[in-house]
Amino acid sequence: MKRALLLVFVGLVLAACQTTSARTINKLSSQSTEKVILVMPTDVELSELHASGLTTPHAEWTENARKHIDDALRNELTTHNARLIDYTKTADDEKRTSTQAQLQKLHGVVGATVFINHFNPNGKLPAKKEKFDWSLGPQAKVLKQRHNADYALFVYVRDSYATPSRVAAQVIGALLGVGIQGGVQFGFCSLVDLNSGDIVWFNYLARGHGDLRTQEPAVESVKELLLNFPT
Amino acid sequence: MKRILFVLAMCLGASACVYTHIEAKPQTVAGAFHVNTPVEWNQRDQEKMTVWTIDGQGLQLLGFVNGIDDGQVLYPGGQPDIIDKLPKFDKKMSLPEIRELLLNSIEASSLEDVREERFEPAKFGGEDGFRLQYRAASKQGLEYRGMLVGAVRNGKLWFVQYAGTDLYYYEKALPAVEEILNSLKFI
Amino acid sequence: MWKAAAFVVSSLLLGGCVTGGSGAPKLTADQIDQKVESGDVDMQTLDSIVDTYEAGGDVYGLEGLEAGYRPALTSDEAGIWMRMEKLESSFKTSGGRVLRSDINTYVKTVVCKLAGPFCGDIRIYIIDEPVPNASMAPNGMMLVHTGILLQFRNESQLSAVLGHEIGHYLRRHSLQRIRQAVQIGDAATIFGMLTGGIGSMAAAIFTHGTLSAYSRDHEREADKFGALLLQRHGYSIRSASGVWDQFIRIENAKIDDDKEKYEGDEDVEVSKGGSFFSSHPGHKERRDTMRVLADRIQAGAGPYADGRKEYWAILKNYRLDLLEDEVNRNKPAQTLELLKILAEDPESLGELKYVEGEVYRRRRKDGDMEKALARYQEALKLDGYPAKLHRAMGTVLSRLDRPTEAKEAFQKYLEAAPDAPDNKLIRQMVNIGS
Repeated sequence: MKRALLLVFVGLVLAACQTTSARTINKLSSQSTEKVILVMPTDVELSELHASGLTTPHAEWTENARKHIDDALRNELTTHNARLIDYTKTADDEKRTSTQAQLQKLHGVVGATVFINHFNPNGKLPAKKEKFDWSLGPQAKVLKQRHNADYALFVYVRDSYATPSRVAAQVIGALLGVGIQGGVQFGFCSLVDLNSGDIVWFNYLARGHGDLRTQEPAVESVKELLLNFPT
Repeated sequence: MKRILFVLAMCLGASACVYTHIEAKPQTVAGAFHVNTPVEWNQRDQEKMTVWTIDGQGLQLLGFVNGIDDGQVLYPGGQPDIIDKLPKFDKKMSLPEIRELLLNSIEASSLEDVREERFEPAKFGGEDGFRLQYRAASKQGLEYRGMLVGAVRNGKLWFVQYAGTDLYYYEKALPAVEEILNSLKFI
Repeated sequence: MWKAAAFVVSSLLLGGCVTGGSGAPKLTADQIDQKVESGDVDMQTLDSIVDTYEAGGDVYGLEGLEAGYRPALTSDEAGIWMRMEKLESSFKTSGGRVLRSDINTYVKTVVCKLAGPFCGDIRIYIIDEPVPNASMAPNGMMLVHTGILLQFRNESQLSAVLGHEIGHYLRRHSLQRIRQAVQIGDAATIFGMLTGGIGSMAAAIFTHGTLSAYSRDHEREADKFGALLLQRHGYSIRSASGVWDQFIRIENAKIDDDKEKYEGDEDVEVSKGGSFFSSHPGHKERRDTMRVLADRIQAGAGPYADGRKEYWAILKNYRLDLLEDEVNRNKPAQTLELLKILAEDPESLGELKYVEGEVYRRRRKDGDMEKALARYQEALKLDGYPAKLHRAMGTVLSRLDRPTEAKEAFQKYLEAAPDAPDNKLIRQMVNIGS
């Protein structure tokens, strides 16, 4: 239900609006010569779409996709003259009220808010006057200090692929002139300035094609995910 | 997330969640109060509650409630399974009973771990009323702070509720909210 | 881009149609019952558990599931575990999780005792949710609601339920259930089990009914497993079976609450059933099965412990909170019945009397304030009543138009709890008119 709602929503947003990214800076900046981007734990899940229309998560595909996304991110972002470091979990990540756990939870709600109130034409906040000024607030410094990074990058991807019996249904559907979905790729990325907590770049993609299970198409998907990333 | 998706589903019905622009000047709100706001807001009408927000309802929310009647719940616009769990206002309630009503309503409105920080007598629109300050967490564990200020007048419960994320958003609009509360008068 | 979006939307709608249109017929609960009765479903396996045990065999190793088991990465089971692990990770910092270490440590200790070598494979999360329930996810994440902890009178009753859940894990019931659901296109079950059911907190558990997602023969098997683990660790099965008697009594009280709630609503037929264990075998059947097992494997032998003291030692710090959550459910007849059950044990009777008063004070029917006052006055003569009794008493006395006594009661509350968050208000209540 959750997933279906989300996808219908994303579909409607796309239908009405071409823009899928927002950014408030054109260039990355850093006090030192090197710009350091902290990659938050990538939230990826690949699912198998069954003939019945149901999806179940697929561990092996997910594991592969995580690797492919990680490699592609690194390749893509080195061209931006940035060094990537991985977020390392500590005991505090399991403590609800810790600042680092709270920042990640807040990012989840802010991300949803951006969908509902920025990209969704029906949910626009008129007093914002199209400004993109969402933030995690100055407490984001906690991440900066712990990891010595300038920015944090959040990545969220959901993707599903048809089982052979689903593919058969697609073929039959095509013969009958009915389109049956083969799978849906949905993801979003955001970049947070760890000095101010401001979200300086946000991008999402939602489409009926793309494949993260193998390396080459994964590179293409990541390029799409990083569209308009600050240089 | 679930709650946000519920809001989102509501928003698909186009007009259901269209926000209007509230300018930084004296305003009449919820058909019940005159207030003066120093900042701009986005307004949306929900059943029995007029909602103002700056950055989005999941981040910070200022709700104005125009008189809950005897025997009614505080949040009649919620999901049915939540309304079912909400305690009902009774016009004979004393302040200790109001305190209990508020805390139980907040707890039942899908927040977890509601912690009462302070409940004390306070003026509301010139009337003798109350002020509750609390903390709570969403189901997903995000920490919120909140306050609920109101009074019983003509057998009805009138209140303004302000809540926002403990990180950043609650404090961001707090000075404006205090100014709004200080300026509040019944129509 | 626009085309892609239209594609997404229309195909989703179609996806819905396909889901709705397909699906093999699903067995109803009654059909499963018939199968069990006709011996079609593996009742022999169930009995063989008992036989294995009696022959001195290892009851843990039934499914060949080894301690530390993890499914192969390529399997469907691995996908389910992956989802569960993600949910579990968000669960650790969820708002509804009870963090108090005493109760967490205690339940973990009992689980470890029962689960033996599988102790490390089962992780317990206590959820602040008054509806009595417990559930087990396929990957060993066990959820225990505070509401069910309130129902137990001793450690053997707790162990029967924990052992039941451990049985689900060892026999991988939910995996079987998910596989069946995928096959027949049972979307509700899949969503329930993979998202809302186990993952997104307690409220969702009851919309989707994690427990009711298991089929009845799984429940019967898990019950037997629970009983055998009780036996293995020297708990009295007969004493544990009392928990079903308690549920039966509360179930009967539920009728009164429903009558009250649906008064005048002709569309609603008030009856038994539809409660939290509705897809489980009936309480009575479960109690009787346990009694038969008790007679069969614990006849004459012993001694068998009920662990009442051990359970109370933990619950006493906690019971008042749980009782207040129970009162907030607004099911007065059931709460009063529960209080009667709990009062059969002698501990902290003042606390129970106070809560009884609270049920009446909150119900607010004619004569309830007088009833509440009488309960508070009784509680004052008993052990274990809390300081807030005085505040409740003051509130009731105000309602009864007895302002002088009300002030005295509020004054007592202030003396007993000078730093309470509402102390300014109470001071005002004391000073009114003086």
